[in-house]
Amino acid sequence: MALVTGFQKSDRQLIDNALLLLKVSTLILVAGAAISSRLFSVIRFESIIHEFDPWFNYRATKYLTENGFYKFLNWFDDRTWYPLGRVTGGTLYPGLMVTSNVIHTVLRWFSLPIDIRNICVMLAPAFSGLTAYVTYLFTTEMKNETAGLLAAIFMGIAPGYISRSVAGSYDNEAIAITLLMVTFYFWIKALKLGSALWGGLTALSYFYMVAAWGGYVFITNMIPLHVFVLLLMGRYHSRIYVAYSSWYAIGTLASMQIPFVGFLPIRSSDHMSALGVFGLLQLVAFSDWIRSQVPSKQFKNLIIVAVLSILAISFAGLIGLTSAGVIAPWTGRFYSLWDTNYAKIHIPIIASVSEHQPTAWPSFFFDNFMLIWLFPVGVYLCLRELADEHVFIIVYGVLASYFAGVMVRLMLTLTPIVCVAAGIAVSSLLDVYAEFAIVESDEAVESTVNKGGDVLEEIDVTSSGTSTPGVSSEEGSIFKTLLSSNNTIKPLLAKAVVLISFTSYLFLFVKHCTWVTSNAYSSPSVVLASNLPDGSQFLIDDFREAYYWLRMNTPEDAKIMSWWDYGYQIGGMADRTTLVDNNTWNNTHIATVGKAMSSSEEVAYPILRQHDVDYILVIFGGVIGFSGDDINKFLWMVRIAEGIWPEEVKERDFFTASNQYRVDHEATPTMRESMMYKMSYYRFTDAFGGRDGHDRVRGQNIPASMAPELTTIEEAFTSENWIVRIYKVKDLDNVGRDFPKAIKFDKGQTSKKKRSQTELRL
Amino acid sequence: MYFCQWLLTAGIAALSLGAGFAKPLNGAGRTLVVVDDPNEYSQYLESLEQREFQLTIKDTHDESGLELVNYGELTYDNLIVLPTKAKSLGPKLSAKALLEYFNLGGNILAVTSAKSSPESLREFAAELDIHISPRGYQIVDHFNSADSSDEHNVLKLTSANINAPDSVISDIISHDEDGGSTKSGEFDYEAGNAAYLGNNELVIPFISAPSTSYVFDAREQEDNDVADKLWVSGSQAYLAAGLQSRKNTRFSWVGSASLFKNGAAASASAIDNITKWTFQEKSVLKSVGASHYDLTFPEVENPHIYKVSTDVLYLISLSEWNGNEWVPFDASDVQLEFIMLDPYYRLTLSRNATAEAAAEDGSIAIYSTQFKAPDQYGMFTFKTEYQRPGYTFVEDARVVTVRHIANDEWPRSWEITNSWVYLTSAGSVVIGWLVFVAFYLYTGYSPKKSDKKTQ
Repeated sequence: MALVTGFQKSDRQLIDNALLLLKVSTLILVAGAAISSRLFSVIRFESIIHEFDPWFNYRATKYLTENGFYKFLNWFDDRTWYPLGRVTGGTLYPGLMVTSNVIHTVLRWFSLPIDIRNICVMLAPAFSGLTAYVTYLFTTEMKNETAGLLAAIFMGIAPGYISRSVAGSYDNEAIAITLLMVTFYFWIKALKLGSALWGGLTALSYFYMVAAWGGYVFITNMIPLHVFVLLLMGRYHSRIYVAYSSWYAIGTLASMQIPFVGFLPIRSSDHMSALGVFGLLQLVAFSDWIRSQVPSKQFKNLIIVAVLSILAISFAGLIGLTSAGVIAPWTGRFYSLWDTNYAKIHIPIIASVSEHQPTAWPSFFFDNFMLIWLFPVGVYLCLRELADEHVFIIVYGVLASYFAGVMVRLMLTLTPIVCVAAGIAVSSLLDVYAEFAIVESDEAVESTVNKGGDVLEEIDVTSSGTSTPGVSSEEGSIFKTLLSSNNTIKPLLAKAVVLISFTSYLFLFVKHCTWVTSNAYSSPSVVLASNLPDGSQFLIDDFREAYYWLRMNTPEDAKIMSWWDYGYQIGGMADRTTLVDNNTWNNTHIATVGKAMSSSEEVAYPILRQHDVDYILVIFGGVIGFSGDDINKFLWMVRIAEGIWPEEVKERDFFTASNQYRVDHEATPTMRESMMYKMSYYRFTDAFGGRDGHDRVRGQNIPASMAPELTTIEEAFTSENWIVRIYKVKDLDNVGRDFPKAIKFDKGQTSKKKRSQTELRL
Repeated sequence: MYFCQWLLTAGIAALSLGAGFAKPLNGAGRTLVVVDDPNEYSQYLESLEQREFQLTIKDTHDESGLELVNYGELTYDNLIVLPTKAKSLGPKLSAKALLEYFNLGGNILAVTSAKSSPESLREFAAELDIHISPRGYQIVDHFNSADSSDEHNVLKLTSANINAPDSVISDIISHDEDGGSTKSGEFDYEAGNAAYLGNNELVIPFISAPSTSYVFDAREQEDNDVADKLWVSGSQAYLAAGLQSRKNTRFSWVGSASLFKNGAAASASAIDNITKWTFQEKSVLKSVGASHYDLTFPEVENPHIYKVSTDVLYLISLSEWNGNEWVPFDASDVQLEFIMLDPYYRLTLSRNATAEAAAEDGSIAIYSTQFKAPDQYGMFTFKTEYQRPGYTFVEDARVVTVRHIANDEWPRSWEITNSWVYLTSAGSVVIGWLVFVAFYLYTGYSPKKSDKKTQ
C-alpha cells in the first residue's frame, strides 16, 4: 500500500482495481479451500449424516419440509421418549432446520430439486465459507484487510472449527459459528459508529443465533461484559449507549419469540448480566448527562454515590429474587463451567458426555496448530493498541480460553478469536518484513521513510474508524513502533529469514489442518473405518446394518430400548420409537433405562413390560475392539440409575473387592447378573468355539463356564462384527409359567417322577 | 348431534363379523379322541357328534394320524385323551408335543384314572401347575364313600365340591329334578386319581376332593406306611381342574373316567359343562372392536392424536357365544384404563343403549364411557382388559398421542382480563411515543446551532 502514493492517479485507480480483484479472488479461494477441505468425509464415505445429534436435526428438517412451519412449531413427537413424548417444536432451536428448509424451498423455486439430505450434508461447509468471509470483515474492523484475509484463511481451515463443520456434521454449531461472527461483526460496527441501525442488525443476527444454538448465551454475556469493561475503563460514550441499548432491547424481545427460550431472558441468571449492564448503562448515561449540566463538584460526587447505591440495591434485589425463586438460579451446566468436578458429583448425565470433559492440553495445539502461540501475540498487540474494539478481542480471548479449557466442545468458541488474533499478529509481522519496495529502490525507501508515519496513520484511520481519543497517536500503536524501527534496520537477510520461516509455518499449518481434517474429523462415526494388516481399508458398517434390520423386520410401532446415545440414530435411521434419546430432558426416564440395564432380568422385566419395550439394542465392541461400547459406558448408566434409586442400584456392587471394573471371571455377581453384561456377552464364547472368549476392548477373558444365559429376552439380531446386538423381549408365557421354568422344560430338564416342591394353592 | 356419526361407524365395525357359525366356535370341530375302546364312551362321543364335532378315534398304538401339528398348522382343533391301558401315549403325544399343540391353539380335554395316568400328560399338566398323581395312585375317602367295598374309592360328591366358576360349570341338574339350574345334587366319582394345584393364576379349579379324602399309592398297599406314599390329601386335592392360556386355548383335566362312561347320567351335566367349556362352546367372549372419539371432532373415528383436556368417548363391544350364535354379553364390571406408565383413569363402563340401537346388530353389547383427557401430554393407552376366570380373555389396547396445546390454541391476550393492565401500558407507550414524535417533528426544536454539541 505504501507504493500507491508514488503513482499517477490513473495508475492508482488501476492498482485499486487490481487490489480489489486480488482481494475478491483471495476470498473466493479461501471460501473454496474452507469448503473443499470439509468434503473428505463425503469423498471417503458418502453423503451421509454424521454422529448423533445431526440425525435428530436431519429428522426434524425432514419433518419441517414435509409438514410446513406451523406443524413443525407445534410438533409433538410421539416417536421418542415413549411413553412421555417430547414437545419437540418447543424444545429445539429451529434455526438450523429452518435455514435448510429455506434453502430447499428457494432451490425448488429455481427448479433445482435437490434432496433435503444433500442440503443438510452440505450446509456446514457452505456456511464455513461464509464464516471465513465474516471473519475477514471482523478482523478488517480490528486492524486492516491484510489481517482480515489472513484471519479468513485461518478460520477457513482451522481444525478447531472444522471439527464441527465437516460435510454431514449437520449440527447447530454448523451455522452458529457463522452467526456468532456476524453478530460480533455487527456489534463492533455498531459500537464504532454509534449507529442504531447497526445495533438493530446486531439484534437481528443475535435473534438468528438464538434460534440456532443454545450457545447464544455466550453472546448474551460477551457483549455486556465488553460494555462493562469499557465502562470500568471510563470509556463511556453515547455510541456505546446507542449500540448496546438498541441491541439489547430489540435482541431480547426477538429472542423471546423462540418457544424454547421464552421468558428465559428475564427469568434466568444466565441472562441477568445483560439486563444488569443495560440498567447500569442507563444510570451511567443519566449521571453523565447530569454531570454535563451541573457544575458543582459535590453534586457530581452525590450522583456517583447515588449510582453506586442503586447498583448495590439492584444487585441485592437480584439475589433476593433468585432466592425467592422468581429468577431461575444458575443451571448445573453453568456451575460445571467453574468447578469441573461439579457435574461428576451432582449431575452424572452431563458428566457422562465425552465432549463435556475438560480439555487436554495437546488438543489446543491439535486444533489450532501454530495459531495457539500466535494468539497471545495478537492479544498483546491489541492490548498495545487498546481501542474499544480491541478490548472486545481481549475480553473474548480471556473468556473463551477459560471455557475451552473447561469443556472440550467449547474449543469451538475459542477458535474464531484465535484466528482473528493470529491474523492480526501475522499481518503485523508481514507489515514489517514484507516491505520489499523499500529494499528495491532507494527512492521508494526515502518516500516510505518520509511518508511512513502518514501512511500508517491513513491505514489506521480507515481500518479502525475512530480510534480512541484517550490513546496517544505517537507511541500508542505497536504497529507504528514496529514499522518505524523497521526504517532504520531492514536488512534483507533478516526479512528473508523471517519470511521464509513464516511461509514454511503457514505451509505446515495448511498441511497440519489438512491432515487433522482428513484423519480425525472426517469420520461419520456411523460408519467406522479401519485398516487391515495389508493396509487396505476395512469399513465397519454395523450400525447401519442393524438399524436397517430394525427398519425392515420390526413392526412400525415397535419400541426400542437402548442407552440414550443411540436414540437419535434409531429414530433417524431405523424410524422406530425409542425410550430415551440424546435430548436428555428427563433424567428420571434415562435413569429408568439405566436401571433396567444394570439390574437382573427379574427386576428389569417388569420395567420393560411397563414401558412396552419390544426390543433392546446394545452396542458391544468386544469382538472387533470398538472401545465406545455400552460396557464402557455402563458405569454411567449405573451412576445415573443410582441417583434415582440409591437403594436398588449401587455402583460399588459393580466393582470387585480390589476396586476394579472387571468383566472376566473376577466380575462381581451383580455385574454378571446385570442385563447389560448378559446382553453383551450372550453367546460370546460360542464365537470362540466354546473356549474362553477374549474381549478385545478390555483385554479380559470371558470364561466359557460362566457364559450368561437369558430367560426373559431372546437374541433377535447381531450385526456382522457384533457391534450392535438386538434382543427381543419375550411375551409372558402362554400357560403362565415363569421364564426359568419354561426354559427348563424346553431343554428337557424337568424331573418327572418326583413330587415337585410347589407352593400349594389355598 | 355428533352422536349419530360415530354410531354409524361403530355399527359398521360391529357388523364386520356376522352370525352363522357351526356349533363349535368357528367350525373348529376336528377332534382327535385317543381311546382304547370307544364303545365304553359311546354315549358321550355321540353327544359330541350331535354337536357337529368331527371325531377321529385312535388308540395309542395307532402311529398314523396322531400328529397334532403339521408344519406349524393344527391337524385337530380339539384333543380328547381318555384313559388307556398303555403305559405311555407314545412319541407323538409327548409333553412337548402337547404343549406345542396347546400353544398353537388346540384345546385339550384329558381324562385320567387310578389305572391310567400317562407320564407325558402328567408332565404337560405339571407345566400348567396341575400336578396329577401318577399311575397307580388313587383317591379314597373312608368316611364318606358311596361304595360298599372296603376300598372306599367311590367318592360321594355334592355341589359343595364344585368350585368352578359359573362360566365353566353353570348348572348341575339334580337327580330328583327339583331345582332346575342350581348347583345341587350328588354324584359319584369312582376310581379316580387327583391332583394338587400350584399358584399359577391361570389355573381354574373345577372340583375339589372332600376334606376326609386322600391320595396314596394303591399298588404298594402292603407297605403300611401310607403317609409316606401320600400324593395329596384333604381339600387340597382336586378332582378336576382346567386352565385357559393367555391365547385363550383351554385345557381341562378330569381325574375319573367313570364320569364319561356310558350310563353315568348322574354327573353328565357336570361333564357336559366341562366339555363345552374346553371346546369353546361356552363362555367365549369377543370384542368386535373398540373405538374412541375426540368429542371436539366426533366425525373422526379412532383419531391418532388428542389434545390435553379434551373430552373423550370410548366404546367397546362385547359378544358372547352361547353355543348357537353370538349374543350380547352383559356384565357390570368391564373397565377401561387410560394408561401412561400408570393408569390415569380406571373407569367402569356401562351399557350404551343408544349406541346399540344405532349399531343395528343384536349380537353385540356396547359399553361406553366418557371422560376428560388428563392435562398431561404423552402416549396414552386405552386399555380394556376383561379377564374373568373361565371367560375368554378380552384385551383391547390402543395407543394414542395426547399432545400439548399448540401455539395458536391458547386464549388470546385480550381474552384474559389480567392482561388488560399490560395491554394498556403497552398501548399507552406506543401512543405516547407517536405523540412525542409528532411533537418533536412539528414543534420548535431545530438542531441549527448546537449540532456539534453531542460530543
